[in-house]
Amino acid sequence: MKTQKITIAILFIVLLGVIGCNNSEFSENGTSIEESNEMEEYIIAGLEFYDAAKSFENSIAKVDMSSFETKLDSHGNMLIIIPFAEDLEKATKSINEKKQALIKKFPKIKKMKCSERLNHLNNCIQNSIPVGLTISRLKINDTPITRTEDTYSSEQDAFVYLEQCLASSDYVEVILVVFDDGTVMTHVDGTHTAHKSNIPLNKNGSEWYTSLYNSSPIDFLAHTHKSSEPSSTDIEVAESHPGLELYIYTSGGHLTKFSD
Amino acid sequence: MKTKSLIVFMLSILCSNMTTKANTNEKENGKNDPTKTDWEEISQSAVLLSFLVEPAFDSPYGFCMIEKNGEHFLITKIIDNWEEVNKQMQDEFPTSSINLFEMDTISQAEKDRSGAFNKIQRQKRAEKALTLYNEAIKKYPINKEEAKELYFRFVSFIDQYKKTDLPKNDAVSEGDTIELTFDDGFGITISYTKDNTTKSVSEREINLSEGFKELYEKCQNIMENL
Repeated sequence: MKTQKITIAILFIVLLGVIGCNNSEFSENGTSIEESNEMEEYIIAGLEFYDAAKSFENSIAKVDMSSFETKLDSHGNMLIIIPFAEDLEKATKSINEKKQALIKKFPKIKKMKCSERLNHLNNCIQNSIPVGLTISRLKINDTPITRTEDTYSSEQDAFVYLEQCLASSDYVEVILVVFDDGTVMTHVDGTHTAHKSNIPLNKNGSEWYTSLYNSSPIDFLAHTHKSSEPSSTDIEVAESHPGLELYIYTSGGHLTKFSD
Repeated sequence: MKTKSLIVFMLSILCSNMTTKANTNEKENGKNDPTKTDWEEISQSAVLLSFLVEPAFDSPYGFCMIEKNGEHFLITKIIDNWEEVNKQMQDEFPTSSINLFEMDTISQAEKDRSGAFNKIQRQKRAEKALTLYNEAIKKYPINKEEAKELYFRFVSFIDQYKKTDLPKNDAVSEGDTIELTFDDGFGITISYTKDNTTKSVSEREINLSEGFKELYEKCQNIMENL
């Protein structure tokens, strides 16, 4: 998964400070840190904070600072009233609340080394559907899509990548291939566009293979669309490749079968 | 939504008087050489040429040129309620989907049923949509010289057209490796009619050859400037 940028955002959040005492990595009900709702909510709050901070930075760069209203507080300090800081305030409050909830459930987290905390964060990011959807919604990983083949050990990892691609301003169709041996692969190359994608295929007996991964027959193949409708050429492809399970992948992990 | 029946429908609108369809591969021993063609003779045909664009997720559109009582006209057509009808069809005949995370737990029979159900729903949509579409038809006069120039341009291009080897999604023989392509761009078909015989060529937007691209852009300009 392409987590570099997200990790930077999360590292920023982690550096806000989680300091403290000692306990188990599991809560009383046995939930691990990365599987806990508290960790998910903390990361989501962190992502929203990062997004709000980015928006704030963009907004403040465009305004004339001298136009801001000022007033004196009860101690005689001058305060500058920034009208568009409301979202950032809310996000700051939210991340602090989620941080306290996380520490309350897993007190040991305060004593962990930074690298250890990052491992927990990364594990949660890679496996949490709500986190993946938030990344997509906020377009935090809105960088050019890497044009490559990636294999994953589970559908969840591929799911996060596909959701990021669908939300990207650089969107091009991505092909998802799931093999009989359980391997999951996404494929994008330089020829893909928002309306076109391709993949090498070959047939052996009744089984379909791709030269990108020869070890196992294809279980099913999907390509991304913004809507679940196959085009007429998709239907033609399905008709001319009997036995190949074909689906349209749309946001949220929905697969719409269009082959017989 | 766009189906074969819709394409047939649009072609039938655009080429309503075309009776016989010939393939460009059928050589006619120079019979179609534009330099040897008598314009007056050609214009006896009611529909002289047509230009059809078929986007994957939008209304097909295009024009045809006709001759009537010695005058020439461009007839443009588009389905002006395409989006509305297709939205209505999606609501009326919804398709089923399976969540990625449920794929391992759902039987192949259920997946097949989902595929079969979706196919039926698409057919129902296509059939009903045809009864709901509103054609927006407009007729524009075109002077004889312009008509003649455009017609001969179509004739010349189509007669000299050589199909390039484009990626195909044909059925695969065992052992062959093919490039499977999903292409949701648009297709373009141009045709001309002579002696009740229509010759047409089609290309996909993503693979437009140079000459085809020029003609497509000319036709698009014509439509935009009408």
